[in-house]
Amino acid sequence: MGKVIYFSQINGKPIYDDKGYNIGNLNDLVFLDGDELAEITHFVIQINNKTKFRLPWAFVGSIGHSIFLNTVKEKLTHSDIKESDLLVNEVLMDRQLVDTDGLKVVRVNDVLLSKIGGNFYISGVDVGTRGLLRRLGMEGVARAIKPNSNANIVPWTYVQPLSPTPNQLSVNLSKSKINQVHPADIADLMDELTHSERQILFSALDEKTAAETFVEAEPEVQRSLVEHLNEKKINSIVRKLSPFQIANLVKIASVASKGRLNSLMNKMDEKILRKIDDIMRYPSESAAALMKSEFFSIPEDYTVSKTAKFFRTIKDRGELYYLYVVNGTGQLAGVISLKDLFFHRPASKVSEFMNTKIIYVGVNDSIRKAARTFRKYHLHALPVIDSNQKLVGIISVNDVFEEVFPNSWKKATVIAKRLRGKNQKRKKSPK
Amino acid sequence: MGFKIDKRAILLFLMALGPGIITSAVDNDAGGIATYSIAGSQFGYSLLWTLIPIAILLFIIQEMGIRMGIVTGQGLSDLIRENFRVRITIFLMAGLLLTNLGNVLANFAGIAASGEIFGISKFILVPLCAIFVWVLIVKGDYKLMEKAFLAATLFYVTYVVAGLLSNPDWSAVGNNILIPQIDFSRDYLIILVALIGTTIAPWMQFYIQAAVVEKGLSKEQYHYSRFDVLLGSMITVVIMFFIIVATAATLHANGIQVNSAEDAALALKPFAGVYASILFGIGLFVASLFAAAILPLATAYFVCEAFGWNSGVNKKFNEAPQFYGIITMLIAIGALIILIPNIPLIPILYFSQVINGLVLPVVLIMMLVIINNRKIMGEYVNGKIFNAFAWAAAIILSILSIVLVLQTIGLF
Repeated sequence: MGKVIYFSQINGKPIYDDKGYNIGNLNDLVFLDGDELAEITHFVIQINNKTKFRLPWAFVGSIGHSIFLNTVKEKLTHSDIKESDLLVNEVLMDRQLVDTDGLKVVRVNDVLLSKIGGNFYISGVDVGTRGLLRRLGMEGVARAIKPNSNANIVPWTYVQPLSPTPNQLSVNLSKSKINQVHPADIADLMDELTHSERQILFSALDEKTAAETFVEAEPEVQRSLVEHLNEKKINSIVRKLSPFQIANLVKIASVASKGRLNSLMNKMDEKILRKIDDIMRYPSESAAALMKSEFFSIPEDYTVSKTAKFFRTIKDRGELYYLYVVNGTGQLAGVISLKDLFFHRPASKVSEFMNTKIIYVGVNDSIRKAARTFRKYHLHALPVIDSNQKLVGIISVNDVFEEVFPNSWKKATVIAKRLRGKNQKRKKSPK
Repeated sequence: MGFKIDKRAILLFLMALGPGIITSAVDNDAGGIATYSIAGSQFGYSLLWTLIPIAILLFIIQEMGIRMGIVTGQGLSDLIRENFRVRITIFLMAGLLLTNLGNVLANFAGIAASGEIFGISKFILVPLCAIFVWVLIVKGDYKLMEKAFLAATLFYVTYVVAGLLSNPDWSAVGNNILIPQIDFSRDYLIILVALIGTTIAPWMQFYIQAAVVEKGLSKEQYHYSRFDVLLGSMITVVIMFFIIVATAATLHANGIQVNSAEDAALALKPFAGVYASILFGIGLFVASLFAAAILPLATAYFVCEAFGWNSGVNKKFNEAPQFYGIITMLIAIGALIILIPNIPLIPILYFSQVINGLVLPVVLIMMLVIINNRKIMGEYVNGKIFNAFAWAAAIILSILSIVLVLQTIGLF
């Protein structure tokens, strides 16, 4: 018995007991999902092309042209297939899945089983032409044309099922894998999926990844997500979004349906609603519509040590480039950089060394003006002030960049090269 | 009781609009126009009674397609691969590839024919159109294309005008629509089968379902999408109606029989005036060009979908080699064959017709199996009465396709 075998090579094969008595044919395998591998726990036997039972894999003695069990027929214990069983034929074979390493949607042509110790595991899925030809009993053709070609295997670690299965089990399967992928890459992937696939993939994301993926996604994908996702999931990401992003979500939901909008609004507390209101007040092309209205400012009379202490208590620091100093009435008085906190005496007041020649944008200034200001002064963030010079928000270079970046550039897919640890290296596929 | 127009309903309808109408337009491609012209010139108004049954058949079959698309969010080849596995899928896809190659070929033949009506050589027109279509698909944006295609459907109005210019005998037309005039002669049955065979083709099912999925229509939009399909089915038969009427009123009335769409366009001139003839020619050109663009694209999409190959016009050539390979191959072979001097076109078209006829029953039965599977469709399985109609439609169409196959290969 070899170390590796493909599912198609044993699917449908006759099963004999210890004494050579034919009991039926192999119909399917039941597996238990794991991160690296999925253990085969049972095999499904079909008797006379009719009844199906599952039997513990431990009964399998050897696999060749047929499957030989290690015991006699009378000693076998069988049970019915359960609703919750993950079946290779049902969940994997011919289904679509996401290769979270190659970031592609692929279709499973075959399933690779490996023998490790005394057990069998699913170690990967074959998504290549070799697998397709093997299923047709023509693998020899592939060997004849390209003798040294490897099968195109996606290791189980990178397998994220996608197709809806009859009992929706794929949703419960391998939740963790896709969350290792960068949200921006998931968002790109979303662009290529149909709405039902998006729904399945999105449901597998944890709250934080889901929120980030949503923010990164194309407007069209966002729309389809809001329209098709179940309310619980879409509402769960609200907590992770900025008011500007929530306002955007609300806009999409109001177009999608009234029910969607209501259920979304019910999820939000007073504070969030007020902030959305604030944002909606500004014209959509203005810098103020993009700004973060949740920001930190420090009073003039803070000392360096008090300022540092204050910032240590804040949990979500977000993007932090400059510290804005306000006077008693909330008017912008000055700005200090993080560097200043290092180089000034802990007891000195920020008002002593803060820069008072502040470059800012007004609430009614356009996004373009903000972009030009960023470029001219090489800044990372700008304060936004209203007509009374009151600090109302902060706008970062990234927010503006996203808006002025040409659409045609956004369309081009970029998958950044990343360094990968040794143990995460993609396994070499078997010959 | 006040009458209120619901803005949201209109919006949802407009969003759902498209797949049905485009499908219907591609349906009336070069092959369709030729068949309708032959039907009208040979049998006059006597085949008009088939229009209402054809519209019903079209609606029943396409409605199932959009329902599967909306409920599962998957394309038809997706569902077939997952439910009928590799072996059957591969044979089906090979069949579809062949029959669609035949269809593409027929449409390049249509382009060549429309060129002849206006005295443009096919050696100029066909390569130009092939390049245009290729660039449109490969470099174009799908959204833009859908709009362009929707706009192109307006050209079908030319047939309506051509039909009106031909001064038909309206009372005879009315009688023939409502009262079936069945003639059991061999020629009559052949053209009857061909009429239905050319309107209900296998690719149509894949296309309409894919278009619904691509649009991301939700269950909320199902009713609107249904209306789109209804509209599409009606447009198909309205165009059929006017072409049959135009050729019946002029050619049949004067005892002229034609064997192709270009003959029909040219023959119209003395009876319906030069404008009717020109309009007929323009309609043929637009329809052929339109179908020659949609068919390769649709074929590439559903073949790649079945095998899990990368697809999509926003991919680069080396990212989706199979996808672009199929598109390029279909267009290149389709156009080149037309340019071969003295090529026996008719046997080639017959061959593609035969495969069409063999594939259609298989696809219809697969659709019915899938759509009645509660695990896949949930509460959206066929209702009892609808299911009876759907099976009846599938059986009728299967019998007709097989008759068409037998007749094409000379056994009937």
